[in-house]
Amino acid sequence: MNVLDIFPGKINNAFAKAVAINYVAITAVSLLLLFIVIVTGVFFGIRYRSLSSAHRYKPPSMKVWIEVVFIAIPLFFGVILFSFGAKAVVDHGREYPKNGLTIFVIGKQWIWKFVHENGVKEAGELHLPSHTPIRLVMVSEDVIHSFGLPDFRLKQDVLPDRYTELWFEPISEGTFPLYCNQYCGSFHARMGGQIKITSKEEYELWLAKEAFRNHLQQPEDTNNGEKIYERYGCASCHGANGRGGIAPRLDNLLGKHVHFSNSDSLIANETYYRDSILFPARKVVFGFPDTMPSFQGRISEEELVALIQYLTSLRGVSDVQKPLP
Amino acid sequence: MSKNRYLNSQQNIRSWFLTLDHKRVALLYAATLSIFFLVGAIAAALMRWQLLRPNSNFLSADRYNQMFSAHGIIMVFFFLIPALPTVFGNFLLPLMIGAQDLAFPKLNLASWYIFLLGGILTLSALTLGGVDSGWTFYTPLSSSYLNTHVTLAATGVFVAGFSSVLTGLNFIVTTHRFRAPGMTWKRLPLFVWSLYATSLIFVIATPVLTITLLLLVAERVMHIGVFDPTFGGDPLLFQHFFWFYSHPAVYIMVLPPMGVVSEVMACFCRRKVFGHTFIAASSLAIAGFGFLVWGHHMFVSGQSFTASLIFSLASYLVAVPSGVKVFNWVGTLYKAKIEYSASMIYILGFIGLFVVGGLTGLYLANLATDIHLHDTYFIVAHFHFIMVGGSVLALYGAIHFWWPKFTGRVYPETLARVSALTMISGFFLTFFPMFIMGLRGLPRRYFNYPEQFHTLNVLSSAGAGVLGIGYLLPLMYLLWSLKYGEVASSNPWNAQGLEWQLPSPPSQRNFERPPHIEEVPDHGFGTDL
Repeated sequence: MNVLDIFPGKINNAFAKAVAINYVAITAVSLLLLFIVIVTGVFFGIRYRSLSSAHRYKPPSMKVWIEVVFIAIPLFFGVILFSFGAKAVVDHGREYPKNGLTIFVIGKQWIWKFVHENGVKEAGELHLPSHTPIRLVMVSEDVIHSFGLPDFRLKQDVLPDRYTELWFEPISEGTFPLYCNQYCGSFHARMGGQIKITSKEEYELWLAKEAFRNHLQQPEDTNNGEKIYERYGCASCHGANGRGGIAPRLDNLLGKHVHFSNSDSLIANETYYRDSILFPARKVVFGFPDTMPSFQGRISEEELVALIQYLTSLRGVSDVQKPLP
Repeated sequence: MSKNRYLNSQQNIRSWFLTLDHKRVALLYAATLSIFFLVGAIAAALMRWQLLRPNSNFLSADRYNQMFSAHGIIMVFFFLIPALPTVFGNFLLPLMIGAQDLAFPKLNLASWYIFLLGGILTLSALTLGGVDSGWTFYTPLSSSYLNTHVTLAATGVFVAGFSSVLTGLNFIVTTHRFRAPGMTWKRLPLFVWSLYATSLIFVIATPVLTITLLLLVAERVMHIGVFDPTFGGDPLLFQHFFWFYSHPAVYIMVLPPMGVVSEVMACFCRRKVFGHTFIAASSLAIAGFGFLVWGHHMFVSGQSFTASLIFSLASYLVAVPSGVKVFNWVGTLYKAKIEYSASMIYILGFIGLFVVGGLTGLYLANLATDIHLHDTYFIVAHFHFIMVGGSVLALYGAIHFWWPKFTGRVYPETLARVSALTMISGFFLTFFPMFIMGLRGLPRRYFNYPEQFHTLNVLSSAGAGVLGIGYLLPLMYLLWSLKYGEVASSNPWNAQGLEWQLPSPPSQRNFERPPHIEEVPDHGFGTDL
């Protein structure tokens, strides 16, 4: 990489393209203003140096209309640049994928752990398919970290108390660095890695091989979501396969409206699952008693991920939340 | 010099350490701040030495993290925030408005002792083994995971905050109540306006930092669950509290330097600053708007998108009054009679570097580009352009401009000009490469870095060496001038301003009788234009 390569790599996702437009706009405005200030300043600085014989009769000290211009120029550019940036982020949010890959990311001092949809795990390196919308659902096991992908112009802080998300659809294949961008203690600088984008077929092949290898090494996987559901006794209230009981049904829940006893409602997502397991008293489903115990301090982030992956895979018959009689 | 000047009227220890003379308090602060600056600069030198090689083990990871934390904590809280107000504000505010002293001279001395106590506590934390939280103390890292001297360091900053509040209070009351007859608000010098705006921020914002640090210490010691989610707290709450103070704090660091720019420009352009009223008003506008933008430090933190939208727009708006100042300064050059003295060179350097630093802020206020640039070296470059290329350069300009008034001596002018140019070029070489490092994705606070950033880091470290020379040269010739420099007249620069009506250095009592105040002419200072 030579000194003139200012940007890492080429544009590899739609958001990066919108960001590039913003870079160009801001640079154009900056160069214009810099030029005006420097050129005018240097010109005046030379022309009106004390030894010159330039005409200095009655220099003006203030003219209100000039001040209005001085205010209008930065105001005008500021509002424009604000709206360019806002639009890019709003558009990116609007295109948030409903289908695509959901990868869980768990950050901890000082390593990134990844969990693919079929339970395959990686650390430090993340395999991903191109031309597929990818959602990263991220959490920290300790302090605040930040997941930074400079090539995709993306970054999101990773917090210990809730899930944060990032999405992108890679265009071309390749290996791209990922960095931890929020100072997180001693080896913050070593908490990096890379993402490897391959074609969809190669990704699926890799995923299947990894799953098979895991199965060979550990035929009795005690850490899959179904076993965790059993181990923590969820079925005693939520029923086998999440079909409900004295507690709400959990099958086919992702993306559905849930109504609470205090008249709030939301659309179920991974955060809702996690919050319900760790802080059940915060939101009680309408028509159900407030009796779910909290699992905070007892269940790890990795177990939560496996459990949520299991729960979001459950497909029951009904898609309406109704208490059983 | 005759025996009734503030420097030699009394010479025993008590007359210095129990002084009620605002001018002596200013020098007490100057001595303390010089020591802090030296410690902060050494930390930076060690960092830049480490970063000469991508995988250097000159400093261990922990030691490097302690260095950047020490550098930030000292330079922000114990140097940049106090420097111009406590040295130049204390010395010059009463002189510029025709007063005998500040409103509360004893409170002023107390402020210094409080500041000293805070500094000693923080320096102890650094000597006892260091702090590695960063100057930003983000939770839950600093509240629950670090076992370094976070509590001690935070307590030192907590104590120093009271010094700020008392200084601000003193300045506000002095400006309102102690102006000499004829010194109307309209005639107030621009440096006084900048100190007034800064003092408003001192008084309103600092208490928020105080409480935040108190909560942080309480969390560390008692695990009450304010910021740590394992005890039911919210880590983002800390960020909101911290930045609510720390963003206005950066305006504390830049408003007085802008006031200095106006004073020096007026003198060496031989005219009143163009748009004088708007410059005064923009200082107040910056102080006010500065309270509305703190969330621009948190665009990727997980705060709501609505909040981010508002903070982004507000951040673009807060740039407007700064733009107004820059345009007015350039306008001051029009039909001026410009002399390129050393202090003028420093001030022109400020304008150039501040403009670059400010324009790079346009990338950071933008919701799209900031995602890419947040927590990278681009940010490090941005704030150093403003705080070093801006504030420190203006500080050196102030030192050179008012040196004759403070000490009664003049320094060698040519050497001072060379020194200014050395500092400006050293600064640029150190920090411009960091913009590129950031654009290429290098995160900040990294003790080692990937190979592809090697060349840029070498350039930056080389620049730091030149910058260091730029800092040291003035130290040498200014000290030299105390004994061997030409004796200064009252007004060696032919400047306007009441302080130049007094002898250099002033007598202890400042004005023997209330000064004669006239309307400052629009132009033609000290010449026959």
